[in-house]
Amino acid sequence: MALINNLTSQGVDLVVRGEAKDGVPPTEHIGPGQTRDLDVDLESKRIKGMVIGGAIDIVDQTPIGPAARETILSPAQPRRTASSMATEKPSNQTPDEGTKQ
Amino acid sequence: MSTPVGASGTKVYISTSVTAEPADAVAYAALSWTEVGDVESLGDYGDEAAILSATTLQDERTFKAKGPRDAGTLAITVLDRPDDTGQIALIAAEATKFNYPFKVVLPNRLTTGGTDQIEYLIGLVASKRLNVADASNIIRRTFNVAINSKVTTVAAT
Repeated sequence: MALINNLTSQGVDLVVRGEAKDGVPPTEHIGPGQTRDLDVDLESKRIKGMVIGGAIDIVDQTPIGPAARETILSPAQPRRTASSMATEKPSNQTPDEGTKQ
Repeated sequence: MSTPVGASGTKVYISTSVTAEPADAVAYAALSWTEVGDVESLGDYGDEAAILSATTLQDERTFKAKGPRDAGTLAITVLDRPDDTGQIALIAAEATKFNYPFKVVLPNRLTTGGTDQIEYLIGLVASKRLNVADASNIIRRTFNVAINSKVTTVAAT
């Protein structure tokens, strides 16, 4: 993902990652002067050319892949505390082993 | 040097009239498109800014600034086909005062599984002139589309 600022006086449509449908790739629109967080290919020649030409500005970019992003965006796990850890079973035990005398 | 892209394979489409320019490429893509058949050539089109100029007495130099942009007129030359739906639509559009969306698809995809560059615009169909000429000529028709919007481009992938 990257925060992209449209520096032009008219809107721009950028191809974003995703499946093409009927020969048309997914696109996102950035209005004049607007900044949007888009999943574009920052290495594409079109994006690089637009940056060089001053049409857009990459304000910020998060250099992570989709898999890492999924991890970050997944719901947080319950916080582990001393009391919760005491009731946890060791991972090398079978469910019954913890109760054996 | 990379391989130059030939014009062969370029396609032109027209949609039904609109009262306002579609907001973005997604809005354009959602329209219903009819291909214009037997297109022989497309003229040049795209933004060109008017250059405003002024000359001061002291400097003896003309200074320039950019004025409004004009996307120009798109000339579509076709081999005249009275049974082509796209050409019939263009002829009908010339008789109105409405703006029509156009889509030009260029055969320049970057990879085998990629998509071609798409250009969207709206314009008035200003003319539909027929060129019969002599016995050795193929009957052609030229439509001039006076572009009334910016050209919205979806890059090739």
